[in-house]
Amino acid sequence: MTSIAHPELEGLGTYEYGWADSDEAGATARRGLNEEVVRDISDKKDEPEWMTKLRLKSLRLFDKKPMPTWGADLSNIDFDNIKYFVRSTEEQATSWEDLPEDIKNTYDKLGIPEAEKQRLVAGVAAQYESEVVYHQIREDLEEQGVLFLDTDTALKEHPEIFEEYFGSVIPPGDNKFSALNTAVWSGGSFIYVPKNVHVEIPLQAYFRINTENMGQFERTLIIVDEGAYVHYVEGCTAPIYKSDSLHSAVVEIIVKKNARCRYTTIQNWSNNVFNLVTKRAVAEEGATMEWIDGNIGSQVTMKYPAVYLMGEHAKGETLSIAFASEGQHQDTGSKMVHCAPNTSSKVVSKSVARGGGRSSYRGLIQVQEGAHLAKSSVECDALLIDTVSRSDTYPYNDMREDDTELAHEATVSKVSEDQLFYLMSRGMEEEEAMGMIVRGFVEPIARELPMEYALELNRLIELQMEGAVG
Amino acid sequence: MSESGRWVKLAELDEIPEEGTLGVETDDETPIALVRTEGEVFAVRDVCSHAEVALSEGEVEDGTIECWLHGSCFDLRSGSPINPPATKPVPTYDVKIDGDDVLVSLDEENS
Amino acid sequence: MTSPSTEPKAHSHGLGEIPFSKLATHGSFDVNDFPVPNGREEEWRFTPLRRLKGLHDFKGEADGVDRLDVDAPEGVTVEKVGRDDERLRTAGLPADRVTAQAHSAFEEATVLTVAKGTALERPVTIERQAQGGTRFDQYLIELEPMAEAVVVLKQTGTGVRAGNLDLHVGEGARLTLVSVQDWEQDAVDVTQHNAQVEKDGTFKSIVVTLGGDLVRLSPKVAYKDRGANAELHGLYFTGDGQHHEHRSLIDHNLSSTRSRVEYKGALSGKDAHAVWIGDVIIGEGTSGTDSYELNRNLQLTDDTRVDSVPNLEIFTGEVEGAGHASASGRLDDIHLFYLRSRGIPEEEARRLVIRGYFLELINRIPIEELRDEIMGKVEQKLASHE
Repeated sequence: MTSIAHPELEGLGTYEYGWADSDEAGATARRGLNEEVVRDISDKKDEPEWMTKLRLKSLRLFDKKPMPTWGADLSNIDFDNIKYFVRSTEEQATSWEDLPEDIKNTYDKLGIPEAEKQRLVAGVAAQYESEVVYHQIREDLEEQGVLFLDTDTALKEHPEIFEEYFGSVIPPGDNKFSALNTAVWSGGSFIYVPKNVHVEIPLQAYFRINTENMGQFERTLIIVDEGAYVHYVEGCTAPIYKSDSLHSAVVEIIVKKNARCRYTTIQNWSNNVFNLVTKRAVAEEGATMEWIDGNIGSQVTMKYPAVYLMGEHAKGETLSIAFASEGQHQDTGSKMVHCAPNTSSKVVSKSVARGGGRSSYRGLIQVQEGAHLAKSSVECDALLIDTVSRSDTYPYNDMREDDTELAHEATVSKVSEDQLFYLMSRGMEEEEAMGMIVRGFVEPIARELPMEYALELNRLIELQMEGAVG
Repeated sequence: MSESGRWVKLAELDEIPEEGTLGVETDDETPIALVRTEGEVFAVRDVCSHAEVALSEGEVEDGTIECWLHGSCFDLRSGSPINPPATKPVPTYDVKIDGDDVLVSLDEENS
Repeated sequence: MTSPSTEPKAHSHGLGEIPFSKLATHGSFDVNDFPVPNGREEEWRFTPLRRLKGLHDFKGEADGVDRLDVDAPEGVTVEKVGRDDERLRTAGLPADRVTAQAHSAFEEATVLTVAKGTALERPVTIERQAQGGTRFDQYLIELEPMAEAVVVLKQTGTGVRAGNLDLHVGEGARLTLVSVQDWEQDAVDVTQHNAQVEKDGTFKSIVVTLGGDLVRLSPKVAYKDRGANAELHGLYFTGDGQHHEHRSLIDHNLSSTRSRVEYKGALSGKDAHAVWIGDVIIGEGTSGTDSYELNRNLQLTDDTRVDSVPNLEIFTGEVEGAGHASASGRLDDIHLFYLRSRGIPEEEARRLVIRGYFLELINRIPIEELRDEIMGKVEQKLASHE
């Protein structure tokens, strides 16, 4: 391995968030899944009858549904060994000082209070294991009627809005993992932005798995009312353990008439996390939904953020980066379903594979009958750093109207010898040059991220590139 | 729609379980799901509008039938999907009960 | 022989072995190795099984009759051989239940051999007229080393047909196959092309699909040595209620091989449905692969449906170049406007634009009369939908 080109990176391991904190709650949590476990979660949360019923029905669906075999290899998931619910603290804190010491240390190390102190975010949620342990929203937003709560609290405090929307975008039976999530969900964010309210700086959530063999099943529901705007950002980390953990979230978003929602994820799970997430938004007339999706960590990620363009002039956009290193499979992509006239969508996907990693783009563009003058463009670029890595593209385009336009293009390339030679002739080390090429490759997406996340992404890529050469 | 339509017997009432379904085929091999719920019988095309799946294998709840494969529910009266991933309706057919016979009007699909 | 039970969509519980490649076919000569499809399998999900007229779950008797006229110049051997001929099992395996059914049930195969070093002075023409019923077929076209040939297969008439066409292109040989599916409106045709290309050989195919109620054509290419080259071109014009499905698979299992795939289609009329699946695999440890795929669709009326799926699997970083593009849309208004502003009536303008759209593809057919004939048929189809 060559020397680290950037002094600020010195002292960092290859996975920076891999420490584990003491794990009292996790050590005693039970493993395995059955009706009793599901009832117990519902009881502990003191939920209404309809939710308990829905959970039990979802468990039946989960048992009945086959494992998907079309994507990544999921055969190593041992559902009986997973801890489905770990309660780390009894009370949700509203200030950092109130957090239990060990949890506070974790988030201090992740740098969360800093972002909040510097007013870089409009609200923060922190989920540790199964539940949200800290929650804060700026008062001015609260006064405007913006709701930013953990999903468990939302069910208690806003049952009517909750029952109307929960499961309306992603039914439990959508796939095996949405059924699992609906059966055992816990935590996640609930956001409601009232009509015409613009939340100018992002709402932010941090998800942390600390227990070995933990399953984290957060459930996020975002409703952006007419003419409103919100940007939600989430980051994910976990310790490195010998055996695997499972993260299987469901995110449902409703973007109403002329509203806009941007959802940014920088996923940096450790390399023993299976990350199997269902994310789908419904965009009404004139609404805009944007997914910005960075997949750096995890052992396996399967995630295809979707936008159902239901109203005229609705827009959907996905910008995604996937970085697959040794032992990783990033199976990601996007789905755009055009159901109304004059809808438009754009997907830009960049993936990098190195060290035997595997990146796959899997996507769907569907233009349904009646979606006149729909437009869609898809661009997938893959960069292969070495000879042993792997890149796949499985797009699917389905057009049902004659007056639509669809363009899909994909390229796969290796790092150009010319570029490398040029940079090295200017005095750069090979590794540094390679890092620069990769950063240039993902730059069109990095520039869409909030500043601190763009820096974070660059830093993560440098870490991933360590040892890529020689 | 109308009384002048061609009514075809597709089943006997007691072949359809209460709060349940029966998948049948017409002479020209159109698959139809007969659904019995809250004292009424409904008929819809027995293919989900999202994927090639028989709706009659799904669960009946609150006036809807749920596709077992991806979870979309369809309103039994209108055929409209209640939730994604399906976004298009399934055709529905008028039904009348004549004694023990379940008659379905095949001339016209309502969608 | 691999059992198809490892197909990607198999409903196992994930504990079985996950196939390394999702695109590689796990074929078999025996129909019983494939379960009867239900329409949800990856390889069947676009095909309306009901319209296969029983091919996917065949229980009847193969009672169909074809009239076959082969016009071959000197240097070509034409044989009728029985099922036991060894050469019929050397090409690729049937990849689905219907083509496996054909291989399990054909009675007699037609084998064309072009002798070593022979460059044919004129094309071989095979006129096949289906005269009803259900029939299973097996063909083999063999080019010995350094041979050169153009083979035209013209298919007309009606019936339910399934078969395999094996193509063996010897070292340094060059084969151009033109396969025209000009079936009558109610015909069903499910065919697999199995091409194997030896060192420095070139296989070009141009498929032209115009007729039939349901045509499903699966060209598959395997490379036997370095320097092998394959170009697959296709033209389809899918009208009222027709289902045209083309599923190519190029397996770059060896280094220094090249492929180009270009399929262009036009659709017009109620429930016209075109499917194009373009699978490319660039194998582990290979280098110097050069591959590109393109699919374009012109949707001339409402109520048409296109499924366009360019799948690409790459198991190596040492590619020369790989990519694909897919685009669908309607007739370009700007073109039409331009032509009409020159005083050309709309109908004529549309005709000219379509002509331009297909021209490059049709020009790949190395026989002038055939080019004119196909362009004529395309225009006839266009006219009938206006």
